[in-house]
This record gives sequence, C-alpha cells and structure tokens, in this order.
Amino acid sequence: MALNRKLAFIDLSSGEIEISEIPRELREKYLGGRGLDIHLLFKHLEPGVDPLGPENVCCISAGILVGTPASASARTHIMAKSPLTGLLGSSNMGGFFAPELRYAGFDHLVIRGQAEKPVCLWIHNGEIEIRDAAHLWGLDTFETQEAIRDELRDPEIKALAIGVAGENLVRFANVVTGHKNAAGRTGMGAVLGSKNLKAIAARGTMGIDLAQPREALEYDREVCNQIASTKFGQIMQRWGTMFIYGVTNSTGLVRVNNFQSNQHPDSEKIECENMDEHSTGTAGCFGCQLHCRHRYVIKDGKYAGTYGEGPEYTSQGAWGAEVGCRDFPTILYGNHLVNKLGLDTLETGSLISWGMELFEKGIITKEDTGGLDLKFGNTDAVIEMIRQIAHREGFGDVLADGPKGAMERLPAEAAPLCVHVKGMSNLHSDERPTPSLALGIATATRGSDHLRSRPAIDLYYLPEPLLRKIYGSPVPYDGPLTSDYGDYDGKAWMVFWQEMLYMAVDCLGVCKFHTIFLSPNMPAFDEFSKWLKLIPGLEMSPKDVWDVAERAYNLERLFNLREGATRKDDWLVDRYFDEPTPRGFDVVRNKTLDRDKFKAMLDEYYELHGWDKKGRVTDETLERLDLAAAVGSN
Amino acid sequence: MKASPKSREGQVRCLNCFERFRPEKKAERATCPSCGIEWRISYPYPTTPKIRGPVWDHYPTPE
Repeated sequence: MALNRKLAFIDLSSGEIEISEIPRELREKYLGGRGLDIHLLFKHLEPGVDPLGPENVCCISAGILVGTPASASARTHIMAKSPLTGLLGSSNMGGFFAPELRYAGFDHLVIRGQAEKPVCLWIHNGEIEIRDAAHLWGLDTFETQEAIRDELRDPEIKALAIGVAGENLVRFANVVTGHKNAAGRTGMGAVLGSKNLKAIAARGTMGIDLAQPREALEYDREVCNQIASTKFGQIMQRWGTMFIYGVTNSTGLVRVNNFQSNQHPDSEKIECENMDEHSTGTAGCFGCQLHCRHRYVIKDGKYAGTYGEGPEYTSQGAWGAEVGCRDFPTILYGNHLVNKLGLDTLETGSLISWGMELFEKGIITKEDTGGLDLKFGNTDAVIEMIRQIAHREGFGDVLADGPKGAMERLPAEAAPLCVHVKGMSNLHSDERPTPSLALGIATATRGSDHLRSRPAIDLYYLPEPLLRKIYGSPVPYDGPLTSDYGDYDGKAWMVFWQEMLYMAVDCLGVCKFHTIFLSPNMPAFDEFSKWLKLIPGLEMSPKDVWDVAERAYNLERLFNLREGATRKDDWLVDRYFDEPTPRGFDVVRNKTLDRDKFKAMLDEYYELHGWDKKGRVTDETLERLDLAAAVGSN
Repeated sequence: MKASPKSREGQVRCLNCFERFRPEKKAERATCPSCGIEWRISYPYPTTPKIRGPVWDHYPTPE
C-alpha cells in the first residue's frame, strides 16, 4: 500500500546503509515530504555543524501522495542545514524523480557523512548501491543524467544531479532533474557537492496500492476538472508562470535594477507572448494536466541551438528586469545556463544585479570585476558572471558565497544595497506596497521566500465574503480581513494560513499551482483530507491536516532558533522602509513599508503562531502540538 | 469548483481598477471604460483575450 515505502539512512563516510519502516505514528504526525524531513533533520542533525562538513545531514524525500492519481503528485523535497543562510535549508522540485523513488521502494533518504571520492546512489526496487562517479565529476546536470542512463542501460531511469556549481560549493548551487526541475533555493546542491555525491538515480517497478482505487480515480477526475476549469489553469497551460510578469510589471510590482525601480516600461520584448517564437511545445511533471513549462530551442542569433524548458517568472526577473536585459533569448539562455551549471536562477540573478548596482555606484570597479563592464543591460557581462560564479572565478567567486559571505568580502557600503532576508536573496517582485507579501518573505523559515507563505491572492481584490470562506477554514477566524492589499489589517492571519497550506502541500508532494496559491478556486485542506483517505487510507479531517502542518512548521522554527536565529532575522532590509517605490499605479507608487505597522504585524503573526514576543515557541504551543518530547526543553 | 461563468467569456479584468470589460473582437488595444487605462491585448486562445500590458505612452507617469 501507499504507506509501505521505506526510509534509508545512508552514511557516505562508512558506506553503511540502513533501511527501515516508517512508523504509522510518524505518518500521522508528519505525513511525509517536507513534514517528515524536518522531523528527521531536527532529530539527526547536531546543532552548530558546518553545513558543508560531513556532519550535515541531507534528507531527500517524496511526499505521501507522490506517484499516485493525486493531481501533480510529483514533488521531490530536499532538506539540510543551508550553506547559504546557516539556517534551515529546504527546497522542492517537480519532474519525475520522486515518483520513481517511490516505485523503487523509498520515500525518505537520510544522507550523512562524506564519500572519499565522487559517488552516486543507484536505487532500484528496494535496493540502494553507492557507485563510483569519478567519471561524472565535471559534467553538467544534463550530461550527468544522460551518462547515468547510458551506463545503466535504462532510458527510464530518473536522476537528480548537481552541476559544476555544486561541485565547487557555490552556496546557492541547486539540484536538477530533467532539464528544468530544480531544487533551487538554499544551496542544497552545495551540500551534495560537499558530500561528493554527484547524483542519485532511481528506477522501480514496485506498484503503489491505493486504499480505495476506484474512488481515488473518480475523485482525481473531479479535481482535475476543477483545476483545468479555472482561468488560472487555462493561462498556465498556455504560458506557465511567465504570464505573471506582464501583470505585475503593469501594476508596478516587479524589481528592476536591484530594487531601484518597481516597473520598467520597455517590457514588450520580455513578456510571455514572446515565447511562441521559440517554443516547440509544452511539457508537464508527473500527473499534471497543466503542462506549465515550454520546451524551447533558440533557432538563430548568438544563442542559436540553446534548448531548455521553462522559463519561469523568476528567470524573467533574473535575466530580464533585474539585470537590465530586454531581449527574450537572453532570458532563455540564462535559464538554460543556470540549470546546466546547477545554480539557483533567483539567487544568481539577484546577486549579479546587486553587483551591477555596486558597479554603477562606484562601490566596486573594473579592478574588482577583472575588467568586466558590469553595467545594467550588458548581457554579455551577465552571461560571463553566471559562468564565473559556477566556476568560482574572479568576481564570481565573491558572489558565489551568497549575500552573507559576499558582504564580508566587499566594501561596507555594499551591504545596505543587498536585498535579502536571513542571507537569501528576495524574489524579483517588489513587496513595498503589499504588507502581506512583505511579512511572508520576512518570516519564511528558509529565508526570503515567496513559496512558503505568500498570500498571492491578496493581490486580486477578492470580496471579503470570499476571503472569509477561504481563510476561515479549517480553523475558524473572525478577525479582520480586507480586500485592500495595501492594508496591514488581517494580513498576519493570511500569511499564517498560507504557511499551513503550503506546508501541507509539501507534505503531500503536490504542486503548489494545484492549491490556493495563484487562484482562489483550487484545492485546499478539504481536498487534502479526502485524498489522504482514498489514497494512503489515512482518516484525517481537514483540521488534522492543518495540525500536521502547524507541527512541522513549528519544528522548522525550532530548528532555526536552535541554530541561533532571533526576531531580528524576521525583518527586511532598510530599503523596504526608506526608499519609496518610484513608479506604478497610484496604489503602488510612492510606497514604503511603515516600520511601526510592520512591527505590530510581526507581533500579531507571532501571537497567532503561539510564539512569544521574541519569536520563540512557547511551552504551551509545544504541548498543544505534541512537540515537547521531540524537542525537549525550549 | 466553478468554471468561469459563460458571461465572462471574452472579458478581461482591468489591472488598475479591477473592473471587467469586453474588448472588441481581435482588438490589439482596448481602453477600460471604468478608469480609462489603455491596454495592449493578446490572445492565449483564439477567442480569449488577455491583458498583455499597458500602452506605456499613456501610462500614468511619476510626478
């Protein structure tokens, strides 16, 4: 059945592999994926270890619904202590690896130690082998996956791999499966690189029995229809997340030239409509009817022959607005390059744009950049910086250390211009006019983040009754809720609610585009409860699912507190409070965040969580969530 | 879950004032009757319009 997948502890120093069952009690408390990973990480990682040392523990998992009829049940989750932030590292990706991992018999891998030489893991039908991978070291992520399939003579193998960035311990190196699916954030590729673990390959034919197969299939059809009928679903099928760019830039909610503006009028050449010229069709992850990424080939020009999948909104920001480039092929090429080299597109683009602002303001010069003319809009310099970062060459080596590390190596005037939270760069959106989105990135457990707490539907001016219906279940809420995204009232609750929703989704292993993220008409706790009954056979109410999410979220918080995080880490850089937005419609122009109101909102957010004024989890909350025994005294 | 109501087919929602309006068929530009913002229109599907972005020359400029 769906609950009989195993947990494997793999020690790369000793070569020992221990395989065990996952107790049902743990399933009921954490489900799987991100939830069970934080339980495992919290339990097995000693506080204070070097994230790039052998003591770091890396958990890789599939959610509890992965590989089943549940819609878009494709997600792989990776968690470790982050070499980028020194706090929680956590990243999530689609594709086909996680279903294959389950078909090969495993849900969770806990990887410790450090191999003497490069290795890869080969997981197939209940067995795990540690194999030599010296010949794979130096290959890019695409080549590595192909080489593994060739070597093992099975084109159906699904693999995840690090690129040269992970090998070179770039602190925001990612892990890639396929051509586009990337566990991009928090440097999980560097953690694998530090362990000399180049790749993990999986292939399995072990079926997953469903608790109620007929009902599960019928319910899946219902949910698929629900998702496909939404306007959001239809536009995603056509252009993926690229459609967001036109909307947010029109309003004035994007970041331009490293936060110096919130809108650029010369947008036509990088809007999603340009994709049609390069697209060869669309593709999707396992079990997804949306197919939100394009496959593309650049036919001519200096990037002729470049192929890839995507790009996402994030890459439009990273290789377009943020670095001052206004041609679509550069966006496609930048997207292709970071995926091949194994770099987080968001972090890489943000850091390069930061470097460009420093260059234009004379804080760094050509002496620092090795002669590179790092001006906004210099596409060749952008591409060269990507290469330098991945190979840790020249100025790229400075940026490869991420915001915290680079700030230590650059003049003091550089630090205030870096736009980050907890040492992780912000998305290419501008949250100055939107307090709810700002609170979300300030407080997210893995650092600045739009995928762990963002109430994106706050931007839609939804009527209050609809907001009450969404945000009032499964936990009743009768506090303020407003349709005005510029307001501070009730936004703390929206962030809290979205945190629980996204955590639940990450425990299930379902894509966030199939829940209330960018559309109010998507599945949420009620649907999750039904899926859990029909697929793994767990009788859990919507509130029970919420409780799992809250338990896991608090454990993430406790992880960060244990690593030294404090209230000051739940804050934004001064630019959010001091530099008004220069452009956009009236609702977003000339806006900054109000420090006092933001502080009050943070207090409210802590209170909703059951944390004290300093952001510490109270004993009452530990008891309520049955966490006291797991964490000991707080 | 509801599909988009039939009555909304062919409509777009103004990104400035959030009112819905229906551009002329196949029009590449349309002006929101409520707030007067002029939009560029694209078509993800043959009869489905989408706001692509503003006509920048007519966009409210910073004071």
